[in-house]
Amino acid sequence: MAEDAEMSLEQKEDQCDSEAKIEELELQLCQARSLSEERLDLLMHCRADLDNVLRRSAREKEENVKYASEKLIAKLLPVLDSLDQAAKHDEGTKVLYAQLLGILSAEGLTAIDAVGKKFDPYQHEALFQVETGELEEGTVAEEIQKGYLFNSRVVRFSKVAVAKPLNAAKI
Amino acid sequence: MSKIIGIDLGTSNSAAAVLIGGRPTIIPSAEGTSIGGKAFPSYVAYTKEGQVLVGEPAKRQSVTNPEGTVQGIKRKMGTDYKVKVYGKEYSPEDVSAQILRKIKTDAETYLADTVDKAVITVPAYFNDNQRQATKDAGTIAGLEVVRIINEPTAAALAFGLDKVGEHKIMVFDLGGGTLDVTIMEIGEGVFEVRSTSGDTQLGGRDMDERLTNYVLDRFKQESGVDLRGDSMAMQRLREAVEVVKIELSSVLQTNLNLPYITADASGPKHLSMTLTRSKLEELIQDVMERCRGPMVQALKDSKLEKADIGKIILVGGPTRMPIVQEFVKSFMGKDIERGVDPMECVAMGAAIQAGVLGGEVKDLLLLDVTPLSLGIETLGAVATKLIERNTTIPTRNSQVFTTAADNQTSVEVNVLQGERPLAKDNVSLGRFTLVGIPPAPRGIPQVEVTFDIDANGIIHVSAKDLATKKEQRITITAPHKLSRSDIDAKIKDAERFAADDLKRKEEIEVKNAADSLLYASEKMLKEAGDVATAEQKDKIEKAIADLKNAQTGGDISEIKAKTESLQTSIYELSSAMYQKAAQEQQAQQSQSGQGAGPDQGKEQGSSDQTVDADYEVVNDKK
Repeated sequence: MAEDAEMSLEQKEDQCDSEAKIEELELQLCQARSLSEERLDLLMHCRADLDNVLRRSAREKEENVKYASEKLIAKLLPVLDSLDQAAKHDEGTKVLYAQLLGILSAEGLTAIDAVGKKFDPYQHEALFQVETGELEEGTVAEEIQKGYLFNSRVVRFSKVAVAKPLNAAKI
Repeated sequence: MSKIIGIDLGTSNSAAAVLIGGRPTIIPSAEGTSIGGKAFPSYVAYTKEGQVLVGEPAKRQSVTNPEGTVQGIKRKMGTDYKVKVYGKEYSPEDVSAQILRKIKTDAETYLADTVDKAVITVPAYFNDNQRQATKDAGTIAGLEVVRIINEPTAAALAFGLDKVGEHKIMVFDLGGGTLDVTIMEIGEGVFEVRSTSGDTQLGGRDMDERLTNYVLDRFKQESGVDLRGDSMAMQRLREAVEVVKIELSSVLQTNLNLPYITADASGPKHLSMTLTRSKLEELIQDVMERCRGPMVQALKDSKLEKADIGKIILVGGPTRMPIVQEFVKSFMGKDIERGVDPMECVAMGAAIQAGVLGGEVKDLLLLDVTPLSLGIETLGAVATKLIERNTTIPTRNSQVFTTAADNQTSVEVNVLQGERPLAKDNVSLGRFTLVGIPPAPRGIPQVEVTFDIDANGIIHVSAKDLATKKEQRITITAPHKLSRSDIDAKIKDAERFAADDLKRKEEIEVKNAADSLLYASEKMLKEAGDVATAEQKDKIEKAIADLKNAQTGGDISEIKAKTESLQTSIYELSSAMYQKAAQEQQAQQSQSGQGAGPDQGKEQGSSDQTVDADYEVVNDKK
């Protein structure tokens, strides 16, 4: 009888050991699973980011091609201003100015028509207001600096003076 | 799942950024970028017609609508101040919400996804009311503000200062109109503000004013004309002065040219003067001096000495100027941190915090890149690149190479690091040999060489014979830890010697081409046998001898010329061979017209040109 009891104690110990081992392995498995899920999630995020960046790159590339000359043209505008002024004094420069303007227009440069139009903050920048009874309030009264569009994108805003009504006499 | 964005809601300018692929990226403003950088002005305008404008458009109409245009609303956050326009009332939170709403829209367009959450930055000295008002502004705009962080903290994050242990740092923030100096303590992910000081009426705008006045006064002196009354001239001048100021940060002097700036009784007037950096620095000396006080005060209040400050960060556009950097450097007695744009760092830092909160930055640190190109040595002691420098790792690339000589049964792979076209000018990281390649004529075997760099930067190079599947590999662990300056020096060398190297590489290619052609020609003569007439044989043999002579002589143009004449003679023979074959075929066939054209001789010839397509691995067995 005693022998039987001893054996079953050993058996019980073995059983406890393997149960503990199973528990440990189950825990490891659980941890491994959740790490794997975390990694998969991260991987999918990375792929998604990559896809989005590629898509955006392609879009930006198209835009860049379209507007490639925009920066250079913007830098040339002060030269146009100077030539415009010079042309008032000298016939030769007038021709030169027209020549340059012709080339740039062919590329897509157009001057913004400001005077007399309603002030538009998406095309004009107001420098100051002028009191006048002749123009409707909010109309561009004077152009201080010409603005330009390049392929329908504003490359320089027109600097203008905006009309405001004459000061009403104080009652 | 949508991303959380980071927002720098500034007094004069605002910007937003988001983490893309782990890197903070500024979200572009819908109205495009302005001169200074990627931010937009913090302007909100309510028009009589009931429209709301934000940013650049609002600024452009501000003069026509002073009652409805609001700028610098940040100064009123957390107070009971009310903006009263056209019969309506708005709180500072309402106004700020308009700015945030624009940012939300721009972000959604840029990311092509909804954006509902944000991290917003505030000055370190903002109290609870001000912070709560910022949060409320977000809510009104449809954004859940998951965190409010201090601007200097965001800047520190952008510079990676949270990753370099414990530090006491100073953040010097000089913007368009304000100076803020903050002393912070960083460690273990905790950011603690020790003290703040500043000047709310000091900034880049003061510098513009000094320079403009100088130019006006000098012009008056030189020409007798005062431009101050001429609005068109003033406009041109202001724009030009701003460009000059920015240019003088990178050059020592520049020209300011405004021809036909104005005209008076005596005729048109031109403005043309040279402006130097030293003059600019002289003009803004008093502005710089005013920067001293806040630094002194901040140190005093933090109870720290200059020597205690480990790192210094500069924030704001004007800090790009060398004089500002020098001023802070000499005051503090140590160099400033570099590597992040001072105008973007606050928004970037907010984006980094947003990424952490959004779970994007767990163990994924910024990926590394290979600083220098990697490749192997090929025929003629040339370096053939397999991985370009600055490729993000982990990465792998394979290429198939072949043998340089007949019966070559082994190939030696010499792994090279560097940018020069010639192997000897690069660093050899290691060599190994693959043996057991079945004997074959040169150019026939296929050996695939693979470079595999793992996430830790360890380089694995392998060479595999595609026929036998035999493979040999080498692992390179710490490839010569080069410092940044070493790397830059090597890249500069490559650029400096580019012309020479190119010439030498071309010479090698001419020699290689000559070798290949000789080999192929001798082979072809043998194969042609009787097809070649005695005359053709003689011609070719003479051309071969000539080329061999040229090779011994070493004159590159000679070699090139003789290669071409050998090629011509070979073509004649090969076209003859094909013609004969075509005739024989026609004779065999009873019916008509299926002869192949004589031009196919080109195919035979061009297979000798595989020197261009196949690279050949050097065999060092002599």
